[in-house]
Amino acid sequence: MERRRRIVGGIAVSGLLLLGACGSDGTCTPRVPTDGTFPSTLAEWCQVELSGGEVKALAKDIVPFVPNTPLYSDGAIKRRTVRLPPGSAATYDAAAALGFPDGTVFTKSFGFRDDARNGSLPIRWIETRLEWRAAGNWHFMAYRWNDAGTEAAAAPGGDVVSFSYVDVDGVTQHPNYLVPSRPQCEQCHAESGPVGPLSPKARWLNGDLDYGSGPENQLAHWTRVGILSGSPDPASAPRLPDAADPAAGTVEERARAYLEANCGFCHSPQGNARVSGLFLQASVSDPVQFGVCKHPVAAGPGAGGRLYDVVPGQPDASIIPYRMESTEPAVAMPQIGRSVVDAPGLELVRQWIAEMPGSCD
Amino acid sequence: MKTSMRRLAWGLLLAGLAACGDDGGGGKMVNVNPSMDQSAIAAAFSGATADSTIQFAAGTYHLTGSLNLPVANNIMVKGAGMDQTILDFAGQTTGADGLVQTVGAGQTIQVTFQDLAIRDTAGDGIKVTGGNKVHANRVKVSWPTRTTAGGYGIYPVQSKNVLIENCVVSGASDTGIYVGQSDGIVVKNNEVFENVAGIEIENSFNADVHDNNSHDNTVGFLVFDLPNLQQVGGNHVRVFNNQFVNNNTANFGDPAGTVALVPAGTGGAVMANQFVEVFGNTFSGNATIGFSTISCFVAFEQATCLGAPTGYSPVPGNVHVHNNTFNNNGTDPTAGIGDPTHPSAQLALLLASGFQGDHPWLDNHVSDVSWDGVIAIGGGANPYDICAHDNGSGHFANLHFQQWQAAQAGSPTPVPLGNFLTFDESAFGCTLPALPAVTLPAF
Repeated sequence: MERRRRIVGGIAVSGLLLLGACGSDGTCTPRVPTDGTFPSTLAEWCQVELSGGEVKALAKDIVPFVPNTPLYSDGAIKRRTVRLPPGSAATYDAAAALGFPDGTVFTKSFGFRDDARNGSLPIRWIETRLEWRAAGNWHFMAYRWNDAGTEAAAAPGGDVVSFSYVDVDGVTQHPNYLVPSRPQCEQCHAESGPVGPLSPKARWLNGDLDYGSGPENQLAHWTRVGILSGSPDPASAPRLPDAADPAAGTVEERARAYLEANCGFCHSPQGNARVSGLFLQASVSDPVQFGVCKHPVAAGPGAGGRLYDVVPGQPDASIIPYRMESTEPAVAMPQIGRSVVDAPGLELVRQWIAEMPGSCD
Repeated sequence: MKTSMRRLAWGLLLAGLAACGDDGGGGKMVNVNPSMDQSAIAAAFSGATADSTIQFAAGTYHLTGSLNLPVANNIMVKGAGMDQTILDFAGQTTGADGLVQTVGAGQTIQVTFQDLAIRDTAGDGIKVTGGNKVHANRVKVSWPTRTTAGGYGIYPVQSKNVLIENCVVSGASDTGIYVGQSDGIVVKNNEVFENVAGIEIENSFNADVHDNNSHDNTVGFLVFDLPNLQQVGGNHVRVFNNQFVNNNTANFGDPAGTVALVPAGTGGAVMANQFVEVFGNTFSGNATIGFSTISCFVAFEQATCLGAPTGYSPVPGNVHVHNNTFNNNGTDPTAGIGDPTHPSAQLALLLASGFQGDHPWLDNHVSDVSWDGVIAIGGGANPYDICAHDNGSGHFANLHFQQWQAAQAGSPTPVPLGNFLTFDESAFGCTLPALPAVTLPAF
């Protein structure tokens, strides 16, 4: 009962035969290209669509998830899903990303409300990013939504979307929002060396999500529905807090969680900022490695004349907040994907530094 | 939501993809032309696969963001000539750097950049992290309008087998050609000028820097080893047959950067590296000092130098400076001080204070070759084999920086370096075995 799929743009012809097949009843079966090609439209994946202004999964075995602390992306609202091949499960890992099988597909959709304070306003969806595993390798592609939200087209070269919105504090923001090119996806997704998923780790999934019948721990849910094997009881699994929730941890715990979520994917011993010697994963215990009294190496104008990444007690003398509060391309961190200052995140990191004992003298 | 978005140009994208063909060497040819916008060019880059050539036609390209190469081996980015293909990043709003190839640890990737120019990037011109066989040939990087921006011009880091040749880099607010934490490096036949540092080899093993013309920078070259990096213990660097001339540009580096400490008018310097051979070079007209060998302690505080990871030596060793030509250096260390509050002024003023005191500089100029004299462990006149000979008229001086620092720490008024200088060359005329030449594999 398949009907012919529309082929838009004429790209990735060789992958199409493997792609999602739409049924006449509106359902479809997710399929994953195995040869590194990508379908030209999101619909061909049969993963998610926009329906009633929300992201809707197109198959029952597509699972939503939320990391305890998300990456800040100009204040975008995000929706994430994962879908594993039927009958397969990810393997648990206490430290690294979970081990996903070939055929796994993640989606992550990004959108904004004109006024983030008003939850009744519609969300304007900008893009849905796909990450999938085939033949042992991870692949990436962003799909750019049209204004009507009816179709999303592959954007291998990315895009910059300039607009304005009012943030949760009532401040009008003017992002130059980056839809990443495929190589830019790879630039950030290299935390452990080879490219791969970032947030699907035990410590980030070890938190609750309401799947429709009340909160449930995500590790427990994934185990229960059969897409995760080997996970201990969540109480025994590592956990990083929601950096935005003051009740979730100390200032230090939340600031370190924030830095890992927003910086640690590059600033890790295997990531693409490893050359700096600054490592911002929450597990790093050597203060010099997470910036305390550490000189910059190749920051150029990004140091702003400040001598150390972190000066205990002195956020205004520390490079990390300087780079967080800038939107200049040569200064701003993360290097791509943020054109608006994350005021609450900045304030948290500043507070952590302000309360830090010691000095660099 | 007000949107003024630049849409993905499907027509151009398809035109770019349609232009793909075989490059004659088995790889895909990806053609880029000046009618393509940022998204279309980035899409062309996205479509490059192993062994592809991304061929830029002649013309000027007005780019608004970094161009990242995909993680695929042996991509060549090629223009029609470094005066014909110009990648202009003056309007850059996203990403710091120009051309970026970067892979996570544990992988290596070959990449070539050839016959093109890069202008006015917000950060680095070309950055490569994790390369193996990194080749830049006939590439020009400059900052004609962003005068205080730009980090490095050409910047391979944590790479193996790096060849940078026939390039021209000017205006970098850090270093023109900078190779960091790498192994197997040849930097030859380049012209670098009006950068803070012309050429730098940092935390690297096995480098040959030769036949370059490094002029009118703040400092001609640096061979540095810095603490707190994944690769420390830089060693085996040869610097030979280069011109280091008139490097007197006031230091305009970010005050927090390491290069910001280097006074204008420096021909070259070695910090905390082991096995460095400097020979056959011409050091001319560098107003502060011809060449200096220093320890970490001149640049950083003790805690940083001594708290570094295993394998880091804060003091230099086996530095062999011979058969160089020195003329007209060290005439006035204060001449290149631009902003007196810039960190570089401190060492310039310190060297200038060598004209005062009990043992002032000889012949009314700063010695052409110097060692800071810092002895961290061991003893004797020359415990680390700092050797200088056959350098023409150039004097050798021991700065006795440690003694000066101790005296200064106990004094409310400036203590002249000239109280501590010694010029006895007898312990430093030693000869060390020639270092082996660097041999790169065929690219």
